Amino acid sequence: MKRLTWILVLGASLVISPAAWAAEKASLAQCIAWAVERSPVTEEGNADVAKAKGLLAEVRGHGLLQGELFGMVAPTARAKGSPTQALTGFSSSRWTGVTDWEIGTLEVIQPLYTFGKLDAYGRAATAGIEVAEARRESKRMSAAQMATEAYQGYLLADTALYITQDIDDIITKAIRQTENMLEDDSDEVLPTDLMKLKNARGLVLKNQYEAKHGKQIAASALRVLTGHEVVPEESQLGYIDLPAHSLEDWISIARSDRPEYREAAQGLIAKQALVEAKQAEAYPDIFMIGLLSAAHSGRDRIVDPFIRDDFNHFYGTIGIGMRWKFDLALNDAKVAQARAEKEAVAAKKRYADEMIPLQVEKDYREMMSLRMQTDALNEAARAGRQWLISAASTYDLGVGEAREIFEALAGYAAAEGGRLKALHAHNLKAVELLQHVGRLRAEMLASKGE
Amino acid sequence: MRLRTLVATAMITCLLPLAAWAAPGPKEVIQGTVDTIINILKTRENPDVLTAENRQAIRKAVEGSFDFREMARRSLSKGWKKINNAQREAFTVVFRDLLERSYGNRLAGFSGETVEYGEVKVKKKNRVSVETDIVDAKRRTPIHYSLHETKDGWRVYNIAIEGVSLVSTYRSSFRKTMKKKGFDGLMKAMTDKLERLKKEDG
Repeated sequence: MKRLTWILVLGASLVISPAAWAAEKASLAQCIAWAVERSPVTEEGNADVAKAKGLLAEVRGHGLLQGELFGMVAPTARAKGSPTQALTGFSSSRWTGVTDWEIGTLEVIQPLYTFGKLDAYGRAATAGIEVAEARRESKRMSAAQMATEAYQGYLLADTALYITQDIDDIITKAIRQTENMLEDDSDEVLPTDLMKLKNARGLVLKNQYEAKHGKQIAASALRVLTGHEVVPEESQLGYIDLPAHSLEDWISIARSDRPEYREAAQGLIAKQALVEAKQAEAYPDIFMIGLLSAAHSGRDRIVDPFIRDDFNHFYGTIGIGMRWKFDLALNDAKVAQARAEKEAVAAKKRYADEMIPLQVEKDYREMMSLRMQTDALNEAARAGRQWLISAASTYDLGVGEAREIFEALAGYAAAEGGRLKALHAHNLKAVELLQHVGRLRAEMLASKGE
Repeated sequence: MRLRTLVATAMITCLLPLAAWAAPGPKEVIQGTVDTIINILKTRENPDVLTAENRQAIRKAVEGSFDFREMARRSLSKGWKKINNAQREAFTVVFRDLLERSYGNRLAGFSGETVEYGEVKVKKKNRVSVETDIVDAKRRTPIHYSLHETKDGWRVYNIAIEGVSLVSTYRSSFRKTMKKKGFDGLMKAMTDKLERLKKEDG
């Protein structure tokens, strides 16, 4: 029977968690690195940066030599004689069949002065790259935060599983002993003691199943986010310790490192540059132009300075040109739109200036509070465990009471459960603080066991 | 003469440390006992069961390093003075049997934890504390053994598990029981418990 049970358990383990056998241990830093590398939001951020760089290159291209080359090969009617003879009617000119015709023109333009358009668009595009990079950094931190949550979730579930199994072992033994004592009509226990123990065991088992379920979900999340079959290298949930900065220090760090600050500041520069660019659109562009044209065919060449021969020629010229598009009312509207967009970004920046420090303060104070709660619950859990040891020791010698064990178990389980929850919440808050100051990077996170 | 005295002094000096090595120190007593017990647990046929032979082997390992009479005396405290020698002897036997039986059952659950040995702290003259930690993947359980030096060597007279002194815990419970039921009541409760454990263990 026992052998059959073992075979069933082993078989079930193999079926339920084949991945667990292949899982490797990895640090939080490694998991974050994998998650950031493979995250679609990182790829999206990279594409946005590349796009912004392309835009700057385009603006720069507008300031450089631009040209257009046109070439054509086509059949045309072969003609002999001259157009003068054809017009006067005495001509010997005539169609003599079909011939080939090749024509090519080259037009090159070098902008000389654009009234600040190119400079303004260039500044906007440069700031646009900074904006895209800041957004990419935010996205990377979101990926890092998700990986950290999965990692911490696994550790929470694994530690909770260990503790609930430990408590379940104690309760199971206590139930067996209490049942024996009741069978022996012992005065030391009451039937209600057995009920209390069984009631407690049910609650512990509920938490145990919850922890098992949570562990499986966290393991799957880690696998999907990192692309590797990994489990945390730590054996139990411990504090994520951040550098011991004051609140003021954290706010200063946020002002220098938070991508949203950089995004808002550079966004404002970009929008201001766009306003200037739209204003400059009201003025013309002055450029140097060069033209070159050549054509050849089997037709006779027209040698007349007043007539251009499209079929046989070669000429070129260089000059100064101007292009001016008159749409002043339309341009004013575009300037107004650009100004409105700039105001929207400015408002966002003002909001960020006020709200980010508040957000950092909230994270910091909650993290500190959770740290103190965890420390207090650490003491409570330690005392609960000592109470349990003490109650079990006297019970083992026949002078303790079963209900004392039950009370100690309840006290220990409540404190230990609360401690784990507070510790997990503390760690998530620490990660949130790092994200909100713009420093959620693998090297900032150091988790240690207790 | 002078040379012979020097040689004799040197020989005695050399022999003294040998004598000191011959009697195991407190740490060696604990290490030897714990290692023996772990070896018994690791080599048993069924890892879930403690057989009568296993219990006997553990009892043999513990007997040489525990001063059960001193533990019993300290646990009973003032009550020890109120009982006669025969009662003391009977109490010590039941006390020892109960400890061996109940802790033997706890040892049955041993599953490969390791024991780390820490410092030996001198408490008073001839009294020391040997610090150990039982370590598994997720927990470190500190167990401190208090030993005193007897004519037979260092012997354990108290154990503190995670800061809980067993002798102090027993003392308060024994005092409470003796106050309610007297020494005979205490003996009956302990004897009943022992019988129950024997019955459970088959």
